[in-house]
Amino acid sequence: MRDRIEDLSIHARRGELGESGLRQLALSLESSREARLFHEAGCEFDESDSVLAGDDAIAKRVINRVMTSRNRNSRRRLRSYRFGLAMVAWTAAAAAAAPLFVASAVIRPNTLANGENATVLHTSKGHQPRPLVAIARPEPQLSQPDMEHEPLSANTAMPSEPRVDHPRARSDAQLVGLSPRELNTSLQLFAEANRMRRTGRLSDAMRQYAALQKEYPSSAETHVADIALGMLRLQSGWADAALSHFRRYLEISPAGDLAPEALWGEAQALTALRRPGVARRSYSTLLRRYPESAYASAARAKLQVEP
Amino acid sequence: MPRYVFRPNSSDCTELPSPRHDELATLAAAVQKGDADALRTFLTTIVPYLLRIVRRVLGPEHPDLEDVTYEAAYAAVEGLSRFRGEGTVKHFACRVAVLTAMNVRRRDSTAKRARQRETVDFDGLPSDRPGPEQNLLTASLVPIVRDLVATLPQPLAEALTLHVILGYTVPEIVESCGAREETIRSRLRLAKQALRKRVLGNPVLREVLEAEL
Repeated sequence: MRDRIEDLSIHARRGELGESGLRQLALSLESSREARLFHEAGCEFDESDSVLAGDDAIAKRVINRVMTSRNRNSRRRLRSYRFGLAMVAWTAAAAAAAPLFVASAVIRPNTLANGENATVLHTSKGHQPRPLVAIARPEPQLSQPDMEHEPLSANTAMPSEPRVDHPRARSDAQLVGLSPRELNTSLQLFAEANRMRRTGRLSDAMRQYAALQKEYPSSAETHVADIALGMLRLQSGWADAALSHFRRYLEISPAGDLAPEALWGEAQALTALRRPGVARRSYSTLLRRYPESAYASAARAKLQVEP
Repeated sequence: MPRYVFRPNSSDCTELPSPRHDELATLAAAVQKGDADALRTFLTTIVPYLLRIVRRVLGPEHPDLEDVTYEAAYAAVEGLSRFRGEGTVKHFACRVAVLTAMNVRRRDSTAKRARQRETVDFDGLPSDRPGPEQNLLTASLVPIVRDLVATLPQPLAEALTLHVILGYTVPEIVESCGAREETIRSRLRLAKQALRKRVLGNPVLREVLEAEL
């Protein structure tokens, strides 16, 4: 019987016990001080429970917050999924191209008499050049200054390769030239920088993003880091530097996944630089291209408020 | 005289439907498929319960009631994909709310202990909440139970919360937690001993209670 005191107590609290049940419970509680304390405490909780006047309003606010968060997170998840797919594809391509990458270490560019680009492989026997058509070298016009891409730094070009102004200006074949180790390391750098940013170590995060862009100019993370770095620079009051990051992202990926963020950041940076006219153009572009984005309503408000 | 015949509100979370009939199961399935209308209906159904559970665990004066309810509702919706049909969906959501509120209570307790080590005595700052002496004068067990929830080991605290604060029977706790009945009874026994020890360790409350009993 003692084992059932707990359940009797609950049924009594719910008003489900008859007279005999109540008598049985009373006898049980008489014999156990601990059970009595439990029962008393439960009754106190039941008595204090009630629907308060503001509960409906609280419930509505909570529901709206959950709905909004779910929508925002589902969009984020979609973006992460796309990014993940791209990373998997690049990693797979890098793994497949690894033997060719090793071979390319002994390749030197050679210009044929007819002016076409070709690559030749020096074999170990007699160093006789053998054409290798499987490896594509970067097209020379990709590094022409008319790309108008600001170089990340003087050290971004690989010493043994032609100078390329920006990672995304490189050909896919060159992209896959990154070894899986390098891809992993750039991912680690990126993740570390993100972690620093989330934990409020903004200066460290900026340094880490900058190191990522310097050391792995060809990685996908470098491209994405432009947005994070731009936002951080903007927060730190370096609107000029922030603007260059946002614009570089937009030049390379005008319709990229983070284009709304880049447009918003660009407008914010321009506003900070006291160039409201150009900032308005960025807000308008953001509204026109991404009317459903999270920034749309804020951009609309900015356009209405600012002259 | 003990209050044996208290009848809770008919819409109270302690009125649990039979496990065989889960009125929210279809709705939960639609939520998992991404149906926004179903999500709103689901939230409209469960959020009032979650709010009351959070209020019971944290107390009506807690400043973060709304935020904790939001956390619980979000966690319940996110956790639907891991719900394997043990018990009802409402049971599941209520348990998520209990665990969320318990974690907040434990976090508050830890923060309070950390503040005690600081040079500034925040506990000395004025508060409009009833103090321990006032609670003792009213001989209320509620603050003691809430304190136990924050200090007991997590399984014991969960059993205590579900049984005393929310009014679950042992079979309902078994269904909700997935533990064996003997295990739950054992946890409740330990929680009872802890409550008794806490009450008897306080001379004022012991005196009041013994006079009442």
